[in-house]
Amino acid sequence: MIKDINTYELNGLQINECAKCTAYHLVYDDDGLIHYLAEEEITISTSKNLFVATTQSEVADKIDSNLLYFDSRSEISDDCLKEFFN
Amino acid sequence: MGETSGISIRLANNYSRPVRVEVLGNNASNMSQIGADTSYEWDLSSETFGGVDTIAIEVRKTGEVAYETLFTALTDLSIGGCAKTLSTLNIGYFEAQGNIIYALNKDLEYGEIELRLGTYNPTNTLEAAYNFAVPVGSVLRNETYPTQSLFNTSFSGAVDNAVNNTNALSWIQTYGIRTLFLLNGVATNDGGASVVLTTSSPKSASLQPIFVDSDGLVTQGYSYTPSGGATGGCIVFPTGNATEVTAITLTGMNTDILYYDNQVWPNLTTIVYNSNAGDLTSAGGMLDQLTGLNTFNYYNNGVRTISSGFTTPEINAVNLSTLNLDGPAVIPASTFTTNTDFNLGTSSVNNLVVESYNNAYNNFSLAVTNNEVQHLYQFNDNMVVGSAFNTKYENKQDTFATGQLIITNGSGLTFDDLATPIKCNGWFRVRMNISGLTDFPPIAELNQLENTGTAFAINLLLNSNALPVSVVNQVLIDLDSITTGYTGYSGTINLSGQTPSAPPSGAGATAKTNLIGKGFTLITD
Repeated sequence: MIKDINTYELNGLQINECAKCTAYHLVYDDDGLIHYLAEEEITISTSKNLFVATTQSEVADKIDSNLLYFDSRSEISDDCLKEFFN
Repeated sequence: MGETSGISIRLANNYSRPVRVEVLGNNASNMSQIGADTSYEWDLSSETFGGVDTIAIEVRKTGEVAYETLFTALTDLSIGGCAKTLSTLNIGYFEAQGNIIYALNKDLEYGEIELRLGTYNPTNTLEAAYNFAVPVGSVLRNETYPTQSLFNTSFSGAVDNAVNNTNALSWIQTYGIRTLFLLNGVATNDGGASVVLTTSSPKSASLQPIFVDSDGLVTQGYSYTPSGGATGGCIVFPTGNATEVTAITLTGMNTDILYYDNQVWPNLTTIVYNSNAGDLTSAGGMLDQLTGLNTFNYYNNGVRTISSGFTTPEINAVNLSTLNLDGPAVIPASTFTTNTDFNLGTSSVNNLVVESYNNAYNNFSLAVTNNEVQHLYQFNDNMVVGSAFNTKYENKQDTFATGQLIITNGSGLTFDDLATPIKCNGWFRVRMNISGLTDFPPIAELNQLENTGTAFAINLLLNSNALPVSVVNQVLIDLDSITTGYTGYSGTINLSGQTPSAPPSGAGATAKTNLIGKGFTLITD
């Protein structure tokens, strides 16, 4: 299930935020670089793109459709690395 | 009787070389060459004089059957020196030209010239090896080999075999004891043990390293598999050095790190000890003379306790840039008895991995290069972040733009100094997570770009620890405070996954909102 993202403006920035929930949390920038990906019970607030979903296939589809990638700047959990990039 | 008007002698030398004659000499003298009817030549062109200290020659009166052997000390190790020395034996004049020694005689007949090596004195050789391989003042000497006899127990078999099966003694006398490189001590090697030397260009076959162990001569070349049950080994260098060797990889051995001499290994850049059963310490300079060494990899083959005083690893090689104390999977733990014995030395290391060293006081002794790629500490339980850390990286720059400082996947991580505000700049990522952290110092500076720009960037990951709400709040408040006045902001601050859950509150929650508004990504419980 894809979680709702709350959006508001703060200091001229559009902030994307999800309520605390256990799910895959995916943060990526407009270039497609993944900044954060993990499956945790957290709340996350970012001015970058935010996608939150509970199933692996939803995240995989998001990664594929947006041509998302990672590099040494990305913070990705070991489990997510195996699930989505091996 | 009246005086003569003088004696006129005309001498003609029919040889193409000088010939010594005694004018008006006593033809009964052994030195006399009067009437010589036989010319002798000995070609010494292949002689290297390695280890030679005596010259001998066979000689007999003409007509006799048996030779006598006369010998004397040889100190001038040259062809000319041999000729001069033979001439002192009172059996004729010996001349040298090029690589040939000549003699003329009639009354004496010469046989073989023999250059003799010095006599093997095991006591002297092992003492030299002990003082060389385990220098006075080194931790290995203090802790593992405090006496000559202990050293001999480990290595005498290999040294004896080196002398008995090779020309090691000759090379030792020519090049010094460094011509022997000792490999391993008592106890058998693990299955599949090997030593592999990587070369830039191999030497000719007869000059390549010779591997010898307690079972005897093994092989000559650039790889070695210990024979079954071998308990000690060594490499013998016929040329006194391994200038062609760029890397040495020891796998499954039971060897301590003995002294590496830069004259022997001037081009050695890489040392690898895989699954080693010996101990790891370079304290006292075992590797520090290696000016070419840039990469050192080591992991041990089993759980061990590091006794008090066994400073580990303390490598101070001046050009060391990669220090990797890791192996495949999670390696067996080494636990310090005294936590300050953990000492990384002072080299300028850009790539660092320290894995499975428990109870270590990490005082961040490595020099700052500004080009750190990764300093990773993982699976180290009860590590103490030493007080030197708090301001260690105050002036660090971010020459390598994604350099990361990581302490992760341990338990019981603590800070020695929780009072002095940390100044930790120049890192793209500072990650101290999954480590059981319960407290964190105040933050004064924590900016990747502090010393190189006007913006503020940091990825601070303190997730999956045991930080209480009060510490989470303080981290957020400090970060909000120190991020005032910069021209731009980026990064992720992850304080999630605390046990128990620690959502920011009060001023901490306000600081979180402020940080989000500046452009940081915030992740919290």
